Amino acid sequence: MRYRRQEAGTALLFLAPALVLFAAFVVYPIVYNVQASTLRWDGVNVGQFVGLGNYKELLEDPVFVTTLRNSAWWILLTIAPQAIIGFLLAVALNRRLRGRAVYRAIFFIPAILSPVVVGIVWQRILDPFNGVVASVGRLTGIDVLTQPWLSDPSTAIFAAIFVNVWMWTGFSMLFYLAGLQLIDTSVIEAARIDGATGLQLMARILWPLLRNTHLSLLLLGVIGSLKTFELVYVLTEGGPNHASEMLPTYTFKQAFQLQSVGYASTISVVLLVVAVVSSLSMVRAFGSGFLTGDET
Amino acid sequence: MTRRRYRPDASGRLHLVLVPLAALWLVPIVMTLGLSLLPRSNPKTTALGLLPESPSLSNYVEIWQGNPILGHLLNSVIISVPSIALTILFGSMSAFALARLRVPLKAVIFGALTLALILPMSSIIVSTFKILQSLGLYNNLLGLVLVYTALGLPFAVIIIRTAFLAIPNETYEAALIDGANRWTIYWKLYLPLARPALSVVVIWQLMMTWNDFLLPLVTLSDNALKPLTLVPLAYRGTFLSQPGALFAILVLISVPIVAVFLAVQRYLVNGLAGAVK
Amino acid sequence: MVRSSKRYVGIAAGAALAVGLSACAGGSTDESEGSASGTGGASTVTFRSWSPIEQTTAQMVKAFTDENAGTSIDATVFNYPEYLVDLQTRASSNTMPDIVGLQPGALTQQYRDKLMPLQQCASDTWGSDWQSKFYPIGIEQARMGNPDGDENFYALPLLVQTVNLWGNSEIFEDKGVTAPTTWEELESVVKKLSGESYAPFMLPAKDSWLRNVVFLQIANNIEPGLVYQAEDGTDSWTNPRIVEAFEYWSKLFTDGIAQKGAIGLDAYPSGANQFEAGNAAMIPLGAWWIQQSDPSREDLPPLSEGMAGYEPFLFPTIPGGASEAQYVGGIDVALGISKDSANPDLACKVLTDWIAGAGAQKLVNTFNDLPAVTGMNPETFTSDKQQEMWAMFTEDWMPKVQWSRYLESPKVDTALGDALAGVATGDLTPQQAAEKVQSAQDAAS
Repeated sequence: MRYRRQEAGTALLFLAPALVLFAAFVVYPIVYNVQASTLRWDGVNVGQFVGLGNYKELLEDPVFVTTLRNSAWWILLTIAPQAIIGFLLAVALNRRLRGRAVYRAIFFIPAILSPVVVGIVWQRILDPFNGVVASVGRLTGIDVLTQPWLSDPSTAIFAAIFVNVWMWTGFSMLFYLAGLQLIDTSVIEAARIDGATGLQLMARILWPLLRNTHLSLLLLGVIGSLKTFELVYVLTEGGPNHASEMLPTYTFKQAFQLQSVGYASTISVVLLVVAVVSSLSMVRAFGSGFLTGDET
Repeated sequence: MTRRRYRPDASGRLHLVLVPLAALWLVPIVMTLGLSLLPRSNPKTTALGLLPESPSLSNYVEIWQGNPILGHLLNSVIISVPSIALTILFGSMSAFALARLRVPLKAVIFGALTLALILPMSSIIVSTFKILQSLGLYNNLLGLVLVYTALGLPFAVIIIRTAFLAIPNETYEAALIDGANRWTIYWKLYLPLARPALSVVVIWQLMMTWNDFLLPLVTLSDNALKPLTLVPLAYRGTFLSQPGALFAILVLISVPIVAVFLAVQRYLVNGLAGAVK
Repeated sequence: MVRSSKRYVGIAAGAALAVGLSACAGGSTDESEGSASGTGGASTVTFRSWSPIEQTTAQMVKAFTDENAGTSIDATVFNYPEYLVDLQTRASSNTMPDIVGLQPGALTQQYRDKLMPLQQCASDTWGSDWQSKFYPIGIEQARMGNPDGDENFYALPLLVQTVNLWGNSEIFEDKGVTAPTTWEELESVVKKLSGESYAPFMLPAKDSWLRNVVFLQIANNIEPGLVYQAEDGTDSWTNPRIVEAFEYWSKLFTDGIAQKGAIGLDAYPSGANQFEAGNAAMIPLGAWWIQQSDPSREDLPPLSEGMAGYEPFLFPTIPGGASEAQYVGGIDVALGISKDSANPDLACKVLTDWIAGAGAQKLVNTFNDLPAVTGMNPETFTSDKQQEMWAMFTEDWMPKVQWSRYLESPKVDTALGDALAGVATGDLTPQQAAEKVQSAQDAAS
């Protein structure tokens, strides 16, 4: 018992710095947002208490429904492709291969570019009047390439998702590369001696062994999807007509363009709740070890 | 794959897939570089709009002459480096506790940490500003370091904890029996083994601190303190049609991150196995 | 480690203090101790804005500080969306700059309680008839949205503009067409110019502000002034004449006038860059496009040199509408002074200098946009065409601007932008679009 208490004490010391910073720069902003969400407030002048009025308004807001649907698409359509392509690239680039460092850099660079650059460049690439893709489409006669992907409300969100996959796949690759370093090479050698082919090795040995990496990427992917902001803001500004609106872009518009800081805080609070609920449902799906790290 | 691995044709086939893929991946990057070379005197482009008709370094010259780039660069370094160091230190300490020590309410703590991942900067900017103000850290680079560290911690904890968990528990127990205290085990044994994960955290934290502009924009008022990311804002006006200069400065900003990536990626090549045994 | 653990004890104390402050959201910030504005002492003022552009602002700062030895101006200029974040954060925490850039209407009204009335400053500087120095639309818009009985000027206009169309003179000449003055002419000119490598009518409609100003030009050409009556509640957005304006907006897309994918193209940098590169024959922008020929810049593209390749014209008249094309425009940027400024006299001096003094001359010299006061002209013109164009804008068009390019309420403004996007993509019929704007209007008032 005493040993345990001592260990808990040690553990607390290990956690202390993180928790202190956390209290100041995470807990306080959350409290602040929760409080602001009960106000009709422009952020500058004195606010007026409206209780849960903002929440009621949000539930009736059609744009809110759109943002939830878009977030769901974003989660579904970014995480899997980024994981699969990232995994394959990592396996390929974990081998001794000429130009390995160059390949890695090429696939990784999109992740470090400013979203402003990415947004402007992809807008030019996808512009159906004068863009790269449309020009290629006209030269080759592949008509589908000349579609106005970003400006058609039914495709805008998917075009943005596509750009996101381009941008972040290299980051998944980096993750898997780090994960691959943690695999005991003797396992791989043993499998090879047993005559496993390359594909079998990847699918049956490496992929399952990277479970923790998958789960980390899943968690980060869900949260990253929910908080997608800059890319969408620069690429489509959430348009046309809110078709590609995400929760953070809508928050930003409400807070700073529509002077509705109270309503914006309400969206932020809901965003937090959605994030917590999704984390909890992942715990349900993958066992509590998913969060605590205890082997289940 | 073992046997094929050293045969040249296997790599050859891999190149056959990788080269076109990499080329496709590069198209927007080429366009970025191309636009950064687009001079004001000739806004026409060629090669499907990828490259300027008359490429020129004039944009780079203009931003170099118009801004104290080196001073801004130094500020960016002063913000990023301590923040990365603190994130690695505090994050790995927490990760160690969560991975190997008995912590009460472990799931709650870990779940709460992930909350910090979700907070978009624009939602917390005003409240963060007020805290920094009350701490006397308005117009102070230390304030930025602390905020970025706090926001970067959850990511660091998740990644480093995953790496710590991959280190066999027997190693930990053996060290305890040898009489090592927990601090020593963390510092001497676990931290060095988690190098691949640490390199991921370094890059992530660098990307976050290096690219963010909203926080320095509102919390710094001295021109002498401004980091590099505030420079492009001046080239991004509503009525400003000079994408060349904007792209040139953004390319310049990206260069140090690419350099760091190339430097740390060598930590992504040493397998763990040999080191543990 | 020891050092850093000491540090976070300190941080912990600070954090506890910060959390203890609590109840910050929604409060008034007036009682807070010590203002941070004017940190640089008695001879410094701070200025933050999104306009004029940085290079021009730097020249204006220099002009003022050269004439007023011992003073300094700490100016920061950046993109509008980030500027809104910055201004809100600073205004709510007593770090507001001494001089701020403002848009008339909603933005000025939001910060009204933090701003100093400026009529005293204006009449001290220019005399009691100071209002006559300005274009009438600027004076009118400066007080847009003031509560009844409040006649204060919380902002004074710095730059004004018309919104209009621009044509590429080379393409017009090459194809033997002139700028269309009626809708039928617009259709026939577009037909004549199509099938080329350029867009006949490039509509960069991704930006809400651009959609709205084009719509306001159409609506005022159909029934001058009606939208503003709809906005103040004396008429309705569902008035058939306004629905008709939505129909004409829709025709830009359905009748093949705008280029494909128009709703996804932004005005800056993409649309402007395409127009400057000769990839468009016509584009809706405004008077500020004359800044492309700024003589203080080197290496201008051929089209922009002395405005050689461009010509401005008004949005064509609409069948059954007003017989003359209407002038739509207003304030580009206005300036305000923080009520908490430690240095209101110096701030007033800077503000008036930039509006009508040596700083203003620098501003005008760069052709950044049209000056808010009449009778100011650039010291050098680089071509006769540029000079004629300048004279037309400042002497002919600007005094005639009667219709605002802004709506007063940001909610209605946004609803209109959304409705126009909905019409452009075919999601909404013109009638539905009008109803949407009306319901936003009902909710806002």
